[in-house]
Amino acid sequence: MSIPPPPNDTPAARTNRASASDCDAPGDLPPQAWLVALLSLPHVGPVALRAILASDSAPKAWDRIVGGSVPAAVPRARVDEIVAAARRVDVATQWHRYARAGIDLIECGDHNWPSRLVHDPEPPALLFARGRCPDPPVSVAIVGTRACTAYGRDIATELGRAAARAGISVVSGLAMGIDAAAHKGAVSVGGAPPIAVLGAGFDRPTPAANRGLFEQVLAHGMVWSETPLGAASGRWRFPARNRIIAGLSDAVVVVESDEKGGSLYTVDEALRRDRPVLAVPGSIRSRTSRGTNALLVDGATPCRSIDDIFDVLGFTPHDAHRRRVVSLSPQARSLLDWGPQERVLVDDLLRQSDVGPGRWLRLVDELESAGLVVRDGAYLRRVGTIDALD
Amino acid sequence: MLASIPSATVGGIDGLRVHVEVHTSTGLPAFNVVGLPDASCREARDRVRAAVLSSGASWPAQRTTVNLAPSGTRKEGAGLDLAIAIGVLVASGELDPKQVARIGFVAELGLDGSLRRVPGTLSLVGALDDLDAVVVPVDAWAEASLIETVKVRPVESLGELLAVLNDEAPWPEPPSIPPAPPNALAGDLREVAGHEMARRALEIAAAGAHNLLLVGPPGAGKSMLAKRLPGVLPELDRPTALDVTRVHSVAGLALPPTGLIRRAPFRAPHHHASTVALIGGGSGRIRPGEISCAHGGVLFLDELGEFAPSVLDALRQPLEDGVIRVSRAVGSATYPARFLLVAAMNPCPCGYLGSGLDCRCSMAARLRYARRLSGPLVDRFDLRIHVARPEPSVLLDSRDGESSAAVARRVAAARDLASLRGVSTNSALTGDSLQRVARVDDEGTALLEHALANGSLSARGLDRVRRVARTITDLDAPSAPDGVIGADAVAEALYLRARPITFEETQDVHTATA
Repeated sequence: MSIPPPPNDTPAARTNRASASDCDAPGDLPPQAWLVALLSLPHVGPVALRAILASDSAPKAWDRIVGGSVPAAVPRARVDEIVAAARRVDVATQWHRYARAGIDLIECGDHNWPSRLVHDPEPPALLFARGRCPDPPVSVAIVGTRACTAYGRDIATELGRAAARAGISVVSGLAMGIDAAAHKGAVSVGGAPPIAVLGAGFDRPTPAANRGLFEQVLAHGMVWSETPLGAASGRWRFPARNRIIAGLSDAVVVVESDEKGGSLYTVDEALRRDRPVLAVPGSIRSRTSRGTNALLVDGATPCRSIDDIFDVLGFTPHDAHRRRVVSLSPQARSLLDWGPQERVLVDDLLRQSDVGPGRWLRLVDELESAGLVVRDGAYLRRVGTIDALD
Repeated sequence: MLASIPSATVGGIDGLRVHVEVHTSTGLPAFNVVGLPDASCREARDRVRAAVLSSGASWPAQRTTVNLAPSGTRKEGAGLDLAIAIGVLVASGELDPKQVARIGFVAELGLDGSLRRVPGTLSLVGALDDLDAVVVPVDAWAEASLIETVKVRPVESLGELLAVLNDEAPWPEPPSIPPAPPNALAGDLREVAGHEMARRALEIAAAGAHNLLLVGPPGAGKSMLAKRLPGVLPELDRPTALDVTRVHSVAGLALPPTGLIRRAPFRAPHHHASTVALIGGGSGRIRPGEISCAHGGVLFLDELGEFAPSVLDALRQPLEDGVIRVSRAVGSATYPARFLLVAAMNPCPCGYLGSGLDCRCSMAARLRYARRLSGPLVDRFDLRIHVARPEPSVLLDSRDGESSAAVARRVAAARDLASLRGVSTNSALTGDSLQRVARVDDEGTALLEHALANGSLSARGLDRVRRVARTITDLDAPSAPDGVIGADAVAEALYLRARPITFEETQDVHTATA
């Protein structure tokens, strides 16, 4: 495990790189500037890049491409397009954009390259990063479908919250649905820093609705991207990103997935890297649990609570984190025991209570703060583990 | 010969004094109306001529010019018919000018000489209130006699009127006005089963004039609840009642037999209504819109998500100001528009988000739907609650709920407290006065701080929550007008103001204190 980088983590703080802001002339640019320039070319992904760099250093390879000579590994049909694009690029200007945006470039071999990716079967050539915690001691990926149900969202949030509280970093993709819910849970308690891996560049980080969440993950943890600024988005980037999610985690939990969801790709990549896979069981009637239930049939570990994750990781949380001891007022406690059904109309409970609406709502607030109920439109829903009460 | 007869035309919701000048002279028979008459006024020539002849008087065979002074403003409607007829008869010598001195005339004429009520009579008579008398049709008498500063004379027909003016008969007796019928409510809260939270919200909305948003799946009962709101609102005070009657009269809506509208109006425009229909305006003739007809009462927008965004946007200014100013090439008018806004909407396109049945909408569809309703409009609602269909056992329960009358009593008592503070309702409390009259105790303040800190309450929402908490305290403790607001009231106000589930996904996450 590497030492976390110093807080003032700008490119200038690194010893193995010149600061972009110090550069006056192209000759002063670090070799990474050319790496970035190469990656920004159309049709140059990690495989093509590796081929290009096989024989040359980045600056020399760039010069050759600008001169019209593209390595054999690149499809011939694309050569003209690539050369034309290369001639339009100003390497220095492009490099300065990264410095201005506070984006670090981390290559395999750098001291803050994630240790989990050192022996990765298909590692990224380099990663763009913002944030301060590249190497958490323990991490778990919580992933799932974008079109999740309320059940999936609740479970993902709870698991995210419990993991972060126990000191486990939550890794996910900041997509809508399960990913966002898991990180919402993680950032809501502080605790272990959250880790996000983007499917696009930092200039187009997330669906706009998740912007706030992105900022919070950034503030408390780390955000990675394999995509350079200004690169065209493409569907292939999401499976590519999922392999990095698998690579950065010690275990992968799928909360909800259709029969053919993107998170199943993450599972394949996890298995490739010998990471344990867990799946949250769901209703056999729910389309979004078909994928996860199928994983269970195929041998994934059932994830019924955070404890199953602890067991798979061999993780012993600090006792204070193990059981969230919650003390409730007696009235709040009796309000919670409204019957066997998970969900109840606010109207029904209000009618049955003998206190006024204001006082009654304060009891609901108490239960909400304790994480035991959640408001769902006109209903209240029980969430969380009730046996965690004193 | 020359005659000048006072009458009036409608401008906005006021009456504008019009002097109908009639001049007859030798020359080929002709009849011209000048002074910017609209189509209706120009047609007066034929109506008046037939009415005069039907009443047994003679029509002058001379060159007649009618000028509607002041000649620079547009004259509208057929209400000038009677004045034109009288003017012609005076100018031709059939009537003695002294007989009609200081008398105004407001009525349309039928071909048989009968007098007919015109829209806006109340405003028109109001412009003539310095005269000795105003003649109106019998069916406009109740409305016109609301103006107490002038004697209103109801007359059936032109013939009858001429007989009076020629001293052949006394003024007819005014009709007897039936007593105001007991108000038939659109619905009583007694019939509503369950919906405890919604009932509470209706009561608070009525007591403090707080705008109310009802969110729920189809069939939950949103429209049913909204329609019961007028039943708990108090009767209008006289100045407001007069304003409402004026607007409704100008808009051509029916008035009660007593002439004065005392019940708070309830207007529910369909979501295909145009902006002009909702706000007021019109290209030929400026008319008040639904928001003005809802002045003093309730504007109910059912299926808020189906209204065109531009239409909803036009509501923001009148909601803020309480009036709407409509400007057109032909002129402009200012209409009152202080109303309680109630709206009902589905939480998402399929309608089932947050109802327990899983929502079938894609995330993109949900977000698109949420974005249709602009943030500023949704922000205008002080009370935003979810409505769900009650359980079958509750629906089948045969016991009555609390009646509207009982709730109305509490609402009236709470409104009295507001008037003690110098405002008509708590929703009008602002800034300084809010600080002074809506003090919150320490526990309540802690709740507010918590909500502000975790992002579930914005600074603008803070004022709204305090106003609602003030109303809740008034309702629960009507004998203590200066009572400090406690944590219970704050908790309820925060709950009722909570952002509906539709807009949750579009908001940022916020950190909890736990």
